[in-house]
Amino acid sequence: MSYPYLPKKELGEVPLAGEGATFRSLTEAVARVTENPAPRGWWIAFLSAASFLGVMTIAIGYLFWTGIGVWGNNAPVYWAWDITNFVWWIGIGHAGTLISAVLFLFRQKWRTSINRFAEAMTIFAVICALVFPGIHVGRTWYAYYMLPLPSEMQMWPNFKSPLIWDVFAVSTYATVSTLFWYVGLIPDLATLRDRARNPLRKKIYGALALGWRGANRHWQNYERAYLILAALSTPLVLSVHSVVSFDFATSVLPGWHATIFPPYFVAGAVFSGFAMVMTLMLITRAVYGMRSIVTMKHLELMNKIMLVTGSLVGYAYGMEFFIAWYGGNDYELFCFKNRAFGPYAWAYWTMISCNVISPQLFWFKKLRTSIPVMFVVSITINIGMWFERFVIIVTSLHRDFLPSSWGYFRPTLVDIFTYCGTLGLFFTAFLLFLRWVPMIAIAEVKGVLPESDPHYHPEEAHADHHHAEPVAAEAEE
Amino acid sequence: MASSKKKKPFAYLAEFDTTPAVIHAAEKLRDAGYSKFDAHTPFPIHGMDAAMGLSDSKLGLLVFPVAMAGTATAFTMMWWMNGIDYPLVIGGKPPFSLPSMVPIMFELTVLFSAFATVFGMLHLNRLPRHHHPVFNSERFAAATDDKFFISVEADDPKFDLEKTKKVLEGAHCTHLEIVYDDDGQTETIPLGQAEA
Amino acid sequence: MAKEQLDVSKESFNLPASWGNVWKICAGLGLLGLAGAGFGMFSDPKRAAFSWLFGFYVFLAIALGSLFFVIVQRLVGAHWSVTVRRTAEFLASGLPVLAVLWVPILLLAPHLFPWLGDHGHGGGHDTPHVVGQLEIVPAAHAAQHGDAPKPADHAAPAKAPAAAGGHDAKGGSHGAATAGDAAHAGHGALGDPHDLEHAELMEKKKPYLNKSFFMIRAVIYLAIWSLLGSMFFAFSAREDREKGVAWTLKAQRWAPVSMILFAFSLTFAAFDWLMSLDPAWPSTIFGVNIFSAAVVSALATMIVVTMALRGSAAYAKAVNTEHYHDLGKLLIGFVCFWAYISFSQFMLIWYAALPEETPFFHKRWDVSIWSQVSLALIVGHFVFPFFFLLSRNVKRNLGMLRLGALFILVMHVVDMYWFVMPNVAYNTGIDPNGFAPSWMDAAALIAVGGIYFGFVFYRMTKYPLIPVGDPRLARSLAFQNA
Repeated sequence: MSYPYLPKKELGEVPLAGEGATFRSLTEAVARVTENPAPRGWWIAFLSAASFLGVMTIAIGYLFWTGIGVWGNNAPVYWAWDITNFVWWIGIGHAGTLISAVLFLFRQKWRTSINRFAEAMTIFAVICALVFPGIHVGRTWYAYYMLPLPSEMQMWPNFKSPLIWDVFAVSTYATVSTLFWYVGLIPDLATLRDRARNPLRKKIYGALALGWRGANRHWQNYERAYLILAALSTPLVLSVHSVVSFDFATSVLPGWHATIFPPYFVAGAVFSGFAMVMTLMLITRAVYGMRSIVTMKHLELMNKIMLVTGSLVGYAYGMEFFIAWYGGNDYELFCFKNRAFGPYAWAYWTMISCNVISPQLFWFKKLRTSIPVMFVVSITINIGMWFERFVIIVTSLHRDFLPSSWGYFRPTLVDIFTYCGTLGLFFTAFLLFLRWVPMIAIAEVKGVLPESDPHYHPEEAHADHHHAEPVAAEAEE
Repeated sequence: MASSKKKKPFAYLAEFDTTPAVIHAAEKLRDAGYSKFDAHTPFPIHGMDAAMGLSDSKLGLLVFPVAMAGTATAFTMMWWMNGIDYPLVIGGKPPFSLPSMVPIMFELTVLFSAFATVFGMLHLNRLPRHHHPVFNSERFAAATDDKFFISVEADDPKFDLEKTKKVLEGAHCTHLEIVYDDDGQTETIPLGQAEA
Repeated sequence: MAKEQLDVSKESFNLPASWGNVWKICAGLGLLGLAGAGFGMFSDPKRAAFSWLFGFYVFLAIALGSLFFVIVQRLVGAHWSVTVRRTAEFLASGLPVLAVLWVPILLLAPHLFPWLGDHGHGGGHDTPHVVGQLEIVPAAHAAQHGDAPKPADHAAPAKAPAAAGGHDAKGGSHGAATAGDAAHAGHGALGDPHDLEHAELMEKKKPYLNKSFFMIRAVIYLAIWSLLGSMFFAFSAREDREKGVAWTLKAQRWAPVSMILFAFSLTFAAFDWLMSLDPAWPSTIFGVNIFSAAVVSALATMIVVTMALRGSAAYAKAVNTEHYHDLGKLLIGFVCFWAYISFSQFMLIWYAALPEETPFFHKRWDVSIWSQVSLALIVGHFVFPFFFLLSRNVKRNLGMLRLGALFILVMHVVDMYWFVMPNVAYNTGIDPNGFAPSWMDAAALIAVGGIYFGFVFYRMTKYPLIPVGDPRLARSLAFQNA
């Protein structure tokens, strides 16, 4: 019997890890980033991110001091950049969960090289997202009204409100993502603990590693826990963006009320999230020399996922438009015509070209394996997905049912500073993560090296002059 | 060396270089009837559970009731708060209306289950436990890098200083030592003497 | 630790001899059913039309779900599924037969689709369109979902019900009230504001909902499906003989385009043949809803069919517990997906309560027996299968898994019944209670099912039951769940 998992070159299969990766080299490559002093580039990035964070603090402080009026929101556009940014950030987070949970369930072994990274991104993106509803409530110090806490008012939250569902969905999502991330980190923290020379470092990583000793009796429960968390996170990630879509779709507003919103929002979220992972991964991979761990194969697969989710989003745009006409509701049709040809047509066509047209480049292998192309497209998609939320929110509101109250939304400087500030928050957190936490799931990547397979026979593989892999990164579905 | 012989050993700690070697050793111990032994590996090895003769993880059984408790908590909370204690009619819907409760029931189910999964896993693994005799071994640090270990505890009814050593040597371990519980000491056992 | 390897070249994967005649039994039953259904079509064409649509969609869903399975496995180059993929290929290759079985729907279409009926839907009203006007100024908000009369040029009485919808908010009573003269309900007497609204709405939809475009579209869908079903089968069958990788690569190359064609054809077919049964009712998610039902039914069918073939020892080794475990996981996953999509559709319509959207659920909740069918779907198509299939042990226990799959198939039939039949009362005026199963339903089910499966099992006598030439077959055989 021959070992069936050798990648078949004739089918276009390539090994997962780059040539020459070993258990030791993986540990070394990932752990040393957290051990060596930070490179100059890190400091430059960190300081600029932190200064953006400072801008956000000032913008939000000013908002608290003065009131929501400092934003551009006004009748009839009561929701604008705040909710746009909230949905955008939440969506970006979704790729992390998709990679860590959904691709795990589908046995996509290639995910191991990017999942840690993407999960960290999820958590920071959710934090950024939470800023916006938090400050949009106006008197933030009363935000606890949203929780079912007994208070002097003798009343309870309205659980029929999608906004309350949001509170539960997003906070559950933040909690579960953090738990999932931490569980994944435990073995790698143990690796850092065991490599630590500095006693303080050993203590901190040691405490966090919970005394992990790689025992198989532990791995057994650990793997089961990972599987259950993945099985929980998969519907969770669907539910979170579905609930976000309910914020709009439960209303009777043309442009907001569409039954396809839940899956459409989820697809868009994954789409934008992958784009963000791609943007960050390309930079990090180049800066930290992770090319043998995050190979072109990984990047190409991510591009394919972007093509799929981008097309799903395109399908949803199409259905919305078709039903707006087919439904025979004049208001609905007006809303969609207004989107495409009204005052915000520029935003609409930005959205279409960024989200639907630009990923179509990935049909061509040459383009989806070109780093500059994928870098530009990933940024384009991020922009496009921001515009999607902007288009949904603002164009549906700005020409409401009374023409006398029609308006045109323009952001103020505070809007802009707050938004850019959350980018600072995100990157500050992300850079700290890169600096102190293993950015690649070391144990998981080791588990997909050919040597990890107990049936692996090096002689056989070497006879073929290329590395074998346990499972050639193929899908269950 | 001689002095440490009086102390009660905690376990044998055998080191291996490759995955097939360590899984082989586990199979040998299982077949020899050992039950209190464990493999320490940098990543979970596919097939190791069977090689060690472990039964399936019980974690799922622990999570399921907690998940149901989460659903019930959410349901009861919303039913009582919005249906009984402070009935609110919003959007023409009755105070108690199931469809609008589904999202939160789902979220709390997931939240409860996730906590049950993580803390259940830690409980089953008896973690956190920051001090464990195997950490006394200097070489054990490699268990989170690129080496594979098997520890056979002295509590095992089959444990015998000589016989166990033979089994481990027969499985071609690359290094063998005894770890002690009380004073943080270890003792390296020279390989190959058993046959002599 | 590795399982005993199966030597593919030495084993035969042909249909066991005992199964050689099953296709004849199926086809015989099918012809019998066809005779019954045919008789029904002459004696009671109105009712028979709905029965046939129901029976047709039950199996169309299975075939389309299988086609989706095949395309996805090709798209991602999966290896675990190679042995079971052939079953899906067999099921999808029956699509040309279903294309033929679609003909009765075409013939009976005027009974099914009110917008196609000969009772002059809005055709007689020369109502000027208001669309152009609304491009400039959408009129009073209230008209959209209140009781306010429609603006513009109809002198509608103040009592005008819901503007855009065409059905009153209380769909159930509407159904009962109009049942007597339902043949004219909603399109007859001029002057009734309800009818005017409806006629105007139908006029707006005419560019899409008209006979010739309907036929053109149907031909396109059926052609796409027949082509894709046959094409992916041919790729795989050619590879059985020629080995190598050429056909696998070809299938992989065609998969993305096929997926796009599949997505749009399935969606618009669902709009045309199911959603337009109530031409006033729109739902953007409807295509996804039917898609979810299709995949669930296809996975359940694959489980049941492959288990039936396990009489052959070689086949039982090739399609083993590991494959069933994965099929079971996919099945529970798609059962959840079905619930998610169905719930999203229901919850949003329930919550917004727009008059043009709610009739769909009024028909299925306000008539007591239909509300019980709806409840049965929630419990039987989601709650029960979900808890049943949750356990790993059940998914790995072939008998239990088959039981679950069979149960889901029964619920799939109920699901399709639920989509089609509540319209009978509204569109034909028969079944005044809104729920009146007919023997013709069973006849149509047997007719379509018998002929379709007769064809599928006939093909099984001609081709190996697993793709013996697939370059990834060895991996599929050696596949083990972690």
